[in-house]
Amino acid sequence: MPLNIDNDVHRFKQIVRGKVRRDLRKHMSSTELIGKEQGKVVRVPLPQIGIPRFRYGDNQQGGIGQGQGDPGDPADGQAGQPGQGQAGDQPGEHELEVDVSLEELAEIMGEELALPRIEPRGRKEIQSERDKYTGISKVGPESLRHTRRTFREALKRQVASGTWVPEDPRIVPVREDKRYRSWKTKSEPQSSAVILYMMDVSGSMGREQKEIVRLEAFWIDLWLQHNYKNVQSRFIIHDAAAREVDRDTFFRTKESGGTLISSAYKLCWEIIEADYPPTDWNIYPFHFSDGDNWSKADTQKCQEMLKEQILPAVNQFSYAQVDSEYGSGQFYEDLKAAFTGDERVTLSRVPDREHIMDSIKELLGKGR
Amino acid sequence: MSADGALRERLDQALDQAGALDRPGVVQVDGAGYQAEIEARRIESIGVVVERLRVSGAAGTVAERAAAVAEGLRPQGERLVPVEVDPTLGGAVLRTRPEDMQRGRFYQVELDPAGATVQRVRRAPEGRVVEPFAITRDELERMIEGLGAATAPPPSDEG
Repeated sequence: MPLNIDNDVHRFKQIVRGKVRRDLRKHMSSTELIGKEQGKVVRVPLPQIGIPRFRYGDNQQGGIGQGQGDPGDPADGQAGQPGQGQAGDQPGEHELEVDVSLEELAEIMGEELALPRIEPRGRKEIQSERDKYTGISKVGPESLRHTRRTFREALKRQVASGTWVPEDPRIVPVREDKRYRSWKTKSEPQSSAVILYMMDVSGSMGREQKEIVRLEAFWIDLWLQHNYKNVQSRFIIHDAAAREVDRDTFFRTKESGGTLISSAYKLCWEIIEADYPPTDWNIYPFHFSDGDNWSKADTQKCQEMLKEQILPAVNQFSYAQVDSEYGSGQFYEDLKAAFTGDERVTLSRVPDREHIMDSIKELLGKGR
Repeated sequence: MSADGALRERLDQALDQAGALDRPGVVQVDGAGYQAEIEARRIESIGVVVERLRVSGAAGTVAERAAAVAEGLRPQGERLVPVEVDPTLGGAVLRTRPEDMQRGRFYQVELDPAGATVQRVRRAPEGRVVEPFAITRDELERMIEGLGAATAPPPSDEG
């Protein structure tokens, strides 16, 4: 029978999930969660929840409602004293933060956006070996001795043999009573995935656009890690030339050059060819840009590279176009015209950070 | 009055000739070391509705040209900012500063190895829309002159 505290904890978790879900759009457009990411847990601010708690009074005094009194008398019997100093002009800080595991957060996002579970491609999967305790054995190393089982066997033996004295309840295990944990090595299929993030860092991509990409990448990462045991992330930035960088550089780099999107697709394909055989890996390239490609010729080149190289190798190619003060570039429309009806391509436009949630739903909604 | 004093005269003459036609098309005017092409939709005595303005000529590095355009050109009072400058691609894009944009409209100047092109662009939900822009002849002269100064070599004193 579960303890009452378990019910309370479960109910509290349900409330937290409800609050997180209700404010999901706000959380998804805020960098607060990303900043507070620590290991596998994020701290979610929930200002609305007040945790009930007992406050003990002084037993030496009467309780509330006892004794004589007139309307307006202070409850504690002391005369009121004027306070010192000025009244504050800042709001009080009562923000509560609760720990939510990334796993839970991914589940909440998946439920809220109605995201389908990703079906890994039916290709070769990596086998991982894992030891699991599955039973009890009469032989084994002392370090794996099962104390409770051992004493139970000893008790059974003593009772059966008539040496058990209830007035002197001593249990002395002998060699035959000893029981040990036994294990089996299990071979489990483990789907692996690689996410290739590409971002346009040319002069036209401003700070806000990069922030949107950072947020969107965080939530995409979260969802794919929820779906695969082994997820790797690689980062490519490009203006007129592309290069691979680490995560930190990816989100902080600002260049002033022009935009040749084909440079990023070329490097993406080189990485796939070198490190991620499509037969072994589920591959997810995500490209973020404001859509201002330098020339129509380069856009044509991108389309050819996608058709001939990248798309046959990947689960899904995703392109998200982030609007700037100057609106939305042409690249989105060009890809749309070229790949409408192709299930391997998903396109999304992000007019501002309020639309991150919608964009993620568009990008991950196919469950590929 | 322009530094190249005859520019306005040649501009007026070319515009008047083209204005007499039903479809004005492209009006060409020679400046000091450069040539301007005005793709006009409508030409009137005071103003012109321009679809696209191109000034041929390219002197100096692309960074210098971009800086000169940003410094010297104020189309209809809007300040321009270099958005992308790429020496390896030999070009640059300048646009109206966001704070100077009017109702989502901005000027876009594209520099390429052979010259500079000016267009008026409107931010729209479906993307960007290039729009013709109405401009007085005075402003058009200043625009051509500013682009010419930034993109063409200064005229030689010799001869």
